[in-house]
Amino acid sequence: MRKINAVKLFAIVVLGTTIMYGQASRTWVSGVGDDVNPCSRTAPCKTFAGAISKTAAGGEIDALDPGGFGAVTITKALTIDGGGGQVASVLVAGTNGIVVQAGPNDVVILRNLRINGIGSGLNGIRFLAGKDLNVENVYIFGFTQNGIDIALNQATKASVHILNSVMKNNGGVGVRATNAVSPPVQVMIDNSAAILDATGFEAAQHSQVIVNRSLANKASSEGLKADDAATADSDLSVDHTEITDNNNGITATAGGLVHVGDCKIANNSGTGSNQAGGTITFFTQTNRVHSNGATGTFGTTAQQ
Amino acid sequence: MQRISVKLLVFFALATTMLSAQASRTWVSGVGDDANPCSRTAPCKTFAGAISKTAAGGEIDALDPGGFGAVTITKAITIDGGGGQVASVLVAGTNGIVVSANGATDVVILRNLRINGISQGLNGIQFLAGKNLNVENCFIFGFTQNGINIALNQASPASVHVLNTVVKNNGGVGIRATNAVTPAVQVVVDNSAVILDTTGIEAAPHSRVTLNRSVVQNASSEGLKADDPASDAQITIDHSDVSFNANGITSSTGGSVAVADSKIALNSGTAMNSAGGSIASYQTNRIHSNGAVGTFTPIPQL
Repeated sequence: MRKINAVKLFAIVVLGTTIMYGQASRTWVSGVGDDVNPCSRTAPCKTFAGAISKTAAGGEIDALDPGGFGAVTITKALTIDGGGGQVASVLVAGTNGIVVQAGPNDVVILRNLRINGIGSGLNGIRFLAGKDLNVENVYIFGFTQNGIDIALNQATKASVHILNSVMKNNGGVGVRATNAVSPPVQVMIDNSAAILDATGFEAAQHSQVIVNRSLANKASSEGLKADDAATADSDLSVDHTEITDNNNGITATAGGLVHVGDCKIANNSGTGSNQAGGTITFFTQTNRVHSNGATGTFGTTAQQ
Repeated sequence: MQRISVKLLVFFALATTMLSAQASRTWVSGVGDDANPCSRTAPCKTFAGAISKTAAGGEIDALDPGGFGAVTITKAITIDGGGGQVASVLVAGTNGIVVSANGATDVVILRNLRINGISQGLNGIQFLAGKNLNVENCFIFGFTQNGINIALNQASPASVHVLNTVVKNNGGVGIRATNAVTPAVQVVVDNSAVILDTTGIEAAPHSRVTLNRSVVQNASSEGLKADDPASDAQITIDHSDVSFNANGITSSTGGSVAVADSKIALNSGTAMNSAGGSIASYQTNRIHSNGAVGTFTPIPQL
């Protein structure tokens, strides 16, 4: 009798505690935490993957102090905040850094993180499903594929906002956007830099990509690229941005549509404005184009 | 004699409390306790616990990461989360931070904070009265009503400055400004992003909103909107991006909008939606790929 009670009581306490953890709107990770902890402020977890199961949908995981918090797959609305004034990092070899595969109403916010592929990780951030992905103050570098790989296959609307971030030294594309079906995924890149990738920013099939106040520099192939040969549904719109030191500056291949205003396109070894089957439109006499291998061709339209 | 000692103790205890009430700077910590005096070595746990121990004109600073809870501010004060750490207000079913201070004199400064409504909170920041509200380096998200709700009713001039801030995923308006009476409240939004709300930014009755170097995107209704039957709502937009919304800029009756050096693109409805109000363009805007361009009045730069 006594034994049964004790066992029952233990089970209730343990299960009850687990359920309570599952409800936390805010959990904490620490560089010296432990994933057997409840991820509370005073008993933090050690990894994002360990904390996420104890965080309620819509809640947040916050970094208490500096640390490497490991790869994580996100399947619900969630915010991860690394703090900003400290190193809150995901360092991976041979895998993806952060994978987002959430529901059609889920907003996922990633802030103040470093994501390092050390030359062997696959993609820094992969966005496979969700309503919105927010990447802010994130430094993504050293992946063999893409820095941010937006690769959706969903009929519901999706958007991505990349603010104050750097994508650097990735083997593929700094930021690549596509949805396998319509509607096009809407991507904003503001005050960010793509440097030293094969391609800086790519609007691929079913995508609308806006680049504002940013930098596309040192791409070994294209600084910016729009291409959707299959459905002609890729739109790239660039303002207040510097596109320099790449092979080609801006390339539009079949099905790609590009608008460029108030930008610098300079010192690209190939062609500054490379219409290779697609369309590039400059807002008349608002761009500064010089010192490229070739200027290339473009149409014009007036500012209004 | 013994009884006198007790009196003395009580006196000292009160004196200490009063002294605490005088502190120009107080501290909160994720592991603090509101029974503490909120000093550097004995910090409090919540903004609400610290504010009664902070002198008017003083500041509450975050010592380390933590969730510091909702607070109502009724005097001039600065709250600084520190910036390099998570200093957060997470609320469900209530407002995050309410400012109801002296309309003629009080300046309230909020810096380096995260305000999370987890899709249940009402308004992130509610500004009801005060001389000036400063919102800097804040991330305000997941509220059912407005991100920053400026809803004044005062005859003295008021201003709001929103700098380097993100307002995101709110059920109502990202930033909404109104004063029930004149003069118009003056609002500056600089280097900020307002994303994924029903309406991004709204200048409602008696308001002047200036948007500079900012992003207003993915509003399910209007990116920006000016409306005031008394014709005292004005928005000016410079160096900004207004994209991916239903309508880009809407000026309804009594609204007045001027736009320069901005992109208005890829809005599924109308880019420049003059719906009873006026929109002027300095002819320096990059408008493309919208459902419709709409109508506006070209005016020259000088």
